[in-house]
Amino acid sequence: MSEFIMKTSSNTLKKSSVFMRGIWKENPVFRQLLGMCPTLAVTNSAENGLSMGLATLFAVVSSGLVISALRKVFVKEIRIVSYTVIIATFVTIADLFMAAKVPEISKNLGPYIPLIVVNCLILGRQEAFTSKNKIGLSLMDTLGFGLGFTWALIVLGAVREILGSGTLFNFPVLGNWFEPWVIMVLPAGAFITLGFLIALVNYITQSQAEAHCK
Amino acid sequence: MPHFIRVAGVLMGIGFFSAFFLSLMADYAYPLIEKNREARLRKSIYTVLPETKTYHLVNNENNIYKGLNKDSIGTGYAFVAEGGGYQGIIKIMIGIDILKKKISGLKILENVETPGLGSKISSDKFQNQFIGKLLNKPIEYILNKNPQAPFEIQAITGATISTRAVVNIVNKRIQEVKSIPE
Repeated sequence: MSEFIMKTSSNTLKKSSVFMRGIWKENPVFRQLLGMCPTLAVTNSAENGLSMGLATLFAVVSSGLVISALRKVFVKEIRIVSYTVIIATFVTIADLFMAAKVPEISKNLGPYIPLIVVNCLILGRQEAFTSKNKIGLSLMDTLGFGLGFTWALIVLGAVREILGSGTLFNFPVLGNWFEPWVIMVLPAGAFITLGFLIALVNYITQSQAEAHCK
Repeated sequence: MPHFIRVAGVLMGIGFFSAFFLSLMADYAYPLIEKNREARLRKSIYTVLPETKTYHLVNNENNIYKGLNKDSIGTGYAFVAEGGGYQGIIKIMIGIDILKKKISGLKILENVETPGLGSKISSDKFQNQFIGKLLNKPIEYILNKNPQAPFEIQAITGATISTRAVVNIVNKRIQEVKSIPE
């Protein structure tokens, strides 16, 4: 990333801040609360969270590149339809790829991979940014938001997996003394964990802002 | 150009390229997906019929497989059973011995039962309870104690409905298979 800071052109300076937005300040899960359906549904383990995050990352980046490259071609009245078809194409490609190459994970994630199409994170980025910016910036933006989504899902999945099954990425991490809190892998646990994590992120953001003001 | 021509053109273009790339991807993926399905079937047959080296279909309409060991002697029969569980369809691979007297193995192939509760039907602990059960009497489940009779299994605590579903699916399918003349 240092080469971004060294360059003097204002366009490339923006690239790194465009990238970082999705990672923390405008994190889609903890700050924007976008794409809540897959976030809550598939984070019952860290591995599932990681897989869903990577699939979404692929979908948002690939459709972002295409939409940014074709941004002069779209017609205003049918732009949402156009974006959705492009997103659906890439999600289907990801779905077929996973069913062919990693069938176990594909079965675990089940119907939630096709649901990536309606993850408002993806449509949101295309409408808000990639349809109005050049390919380089669009790549940074979608990478940032995709990775921000992914790490959030990994954290959420890890907390629920450790407390709910005593494992992390399927490795037992708490000994036999631990009686798993089954509720953590159920929907109620998803909401509870997400609530606590959002509170934590808010607390950190607030203390950072206060430290800045002093 | 008139506006509606541009609208139609853009949509057709996007549709065309979408279909084109998807068909390329499908060509690549479908054979692999089919291979995965066969591998899963093979693995489950080997699990429920111990000592099996090969298998083949012996009854087409009922999808019954016969397993053979390394000396080409029959090891048993395997077939799929399915039915409704608590949350959705449960698919089970059942193996019976070659003399059709008892269950040689059971493997849950697919289930969408509650994680941490009903999903425990996929655990070895639960599945292994079915090994050795005789086919002449329907299997029953009991709650919260060790099985008292040879045809009983212990239900999963907190997942009675999933347990009952598995037991019913297994009993029903075994009855069906027993009545096939072969």
